[in-house]
Amino acid sequence: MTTDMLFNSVDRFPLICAGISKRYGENWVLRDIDLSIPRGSIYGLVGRNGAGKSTLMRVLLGLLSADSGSAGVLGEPALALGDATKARLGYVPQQFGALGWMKVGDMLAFVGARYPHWDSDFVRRSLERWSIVPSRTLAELSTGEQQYVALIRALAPRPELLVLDEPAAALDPVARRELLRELATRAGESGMTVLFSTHIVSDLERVASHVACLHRQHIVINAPMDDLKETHARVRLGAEAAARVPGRLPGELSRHRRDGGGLSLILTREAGAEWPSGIEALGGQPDSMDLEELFIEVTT
Amino acid sequence: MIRAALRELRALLGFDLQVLLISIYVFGLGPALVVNSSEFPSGATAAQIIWTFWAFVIALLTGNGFNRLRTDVRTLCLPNSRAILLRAYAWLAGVVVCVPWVLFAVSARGPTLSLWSLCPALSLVLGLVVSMGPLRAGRRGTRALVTPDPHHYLARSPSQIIRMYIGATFAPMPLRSRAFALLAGLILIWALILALLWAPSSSTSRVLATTYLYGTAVGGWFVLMRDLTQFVAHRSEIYAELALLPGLGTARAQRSALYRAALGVPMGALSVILVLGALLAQTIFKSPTRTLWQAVGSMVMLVAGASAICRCLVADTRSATIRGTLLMLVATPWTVAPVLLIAVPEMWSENNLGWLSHIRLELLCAVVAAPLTGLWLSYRTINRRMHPFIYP
Repeated sequence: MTTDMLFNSVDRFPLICAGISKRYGENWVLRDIDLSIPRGSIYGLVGRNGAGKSTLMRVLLGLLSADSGSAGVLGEPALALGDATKARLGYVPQQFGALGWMKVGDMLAFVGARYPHWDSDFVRRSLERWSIVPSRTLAELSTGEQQYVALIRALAPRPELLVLDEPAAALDPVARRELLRELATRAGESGMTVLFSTHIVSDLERVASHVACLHRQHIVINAPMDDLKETHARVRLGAEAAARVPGRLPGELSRHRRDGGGLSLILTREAGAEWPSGIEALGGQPDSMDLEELFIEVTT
Repeated sequence: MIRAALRELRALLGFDLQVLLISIYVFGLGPALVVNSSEFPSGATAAQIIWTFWAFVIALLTGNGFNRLRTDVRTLCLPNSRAILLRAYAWLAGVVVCVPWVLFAVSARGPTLSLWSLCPALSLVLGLVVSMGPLRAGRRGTRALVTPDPHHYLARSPSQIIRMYIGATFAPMPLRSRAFALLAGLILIWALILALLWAPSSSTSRVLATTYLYGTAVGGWFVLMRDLTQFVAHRSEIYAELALLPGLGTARAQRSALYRAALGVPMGALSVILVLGALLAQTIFKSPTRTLWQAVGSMVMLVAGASAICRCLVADTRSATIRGTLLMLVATPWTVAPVLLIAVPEMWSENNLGWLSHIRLELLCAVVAAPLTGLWLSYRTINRRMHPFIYP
């Protein structure tokens, strides 16, 4: 994908990257990542702890420069965003440490003054709904309350693109569910595009329309949620059939040796395409899996 | 046994407080022991006053640390909490009260200095008592004092926006706010006290005025650096926020705004103190050469402070480097001491220089080379970045 194509596809993909690689010292975190987030989608990025989800998000938003490749946000290069683009963008970091000395209400008023479409009514309603006292300082709030404030701060400018880095990691299950519900409602009402990372698979199933899985520096799964069961399957082979499996099969994502010498293979195919022909000859039967099983099989 | 004791003390005090304590011990006790002779009575007195002032600060900080430990222990509902608290209190009392008192009692010679040795001990006890109660309320009061009026948030320059992110002490203060009126009042009272002490003919006044200036410089520096070190500690999230905040202009403008925001307030405050120090020296000695030396020394101090702050902004995110940076920030005010103490006549008079003249020369060489190199390296690092808030 050329750079021009990357930035000209903004109508379809508000957030897009091609050939992104990043390393810290000698350790590669991302290698040759291509990702296109469709407009209006809720895109869940899943991966184990330390898989590089935060790094990928920071590279996508231009908060971290990549060793190679390029990223585009709302039609602009991620490393040179203009004020107009920034005003259409919301970001919720993993930890919210800025302006901790200010009162919640003052902080939101101060930040809101920088955005042309700041929704003060939404701020007031949200603070009331989540019982956050505006006269308390941010540093005095609990982690969950700080996460709510970060979400309010990101949603109030009415962004076209919202990026959330593990927004629910510090929350209890009830608060997490409420936060995700708010996210889904808001995205549904405004047509906002959302990219969020998590290592909690049930969060993805609840709200995501698309899912990508990051493992060992690569995107190993990237599909619409509805197609996932159709396009991914597990094939279990006995010891005898396992011995006859040639090298890597077409569309093979992972393979695990089972007790007794058998094999467990995870395969993928294009929507509507056939499974590799050799599978049936080996006596294997593709079985569909839920997302959690697929995640565990692919990332272990 | 000793290792276990040291481990427990480290856990109790934390890294920053340990650095602070060691710095204060070295700075406060060192000169007190060295100049504790009849040849430099004013120098000895100045060192004793400084140490007494810092003893109070140490006690206040460690007492506050002990309070935090007490809250944590209660929250955790540990079965042996009483024993933990008693042991922690014994360590603090030993380190903060007994050790300095014994050192002073041993080093003090003559009846006057023996009497002086009681001052640090008394101030330490007073500091511990004070820290137990109203410190928390006081801190809240200070926060309320410096919280600006939200109506003034609307139109701000990029450097003012960044100052808000650094912390309350850096935040711009509207002229018509209550906080500004209170601050102006405090500065007026401070200036009046300095004017009362400013009597060049009296030896005691000279020492007191110098110490007063020195105490203000170091105390003010710590207050400002507390916010800056917090900013550095949370830099990853704050830079992300700033990088995506509309209204900060181009990358080049952001870089210069970041410099202005981080350097403006501390450098301005330190400049005022150092200029006052130079004026004090001029009124005492009426010697242009000496004043020139002091001006050169002041410039070096400013460069040292600027270098420490720049390094802080661009330092690597690894914790070891951040610790090194914080150490540098903490150490910077100690270098202010020689410049301000120039005003103490006996220490710097031509007839009594002796071995101090060599120290002065070596000190000046060291403090000129180190901060200039640091500033140059920091400046090069941040200017190599295309965007100050984007990590390479």
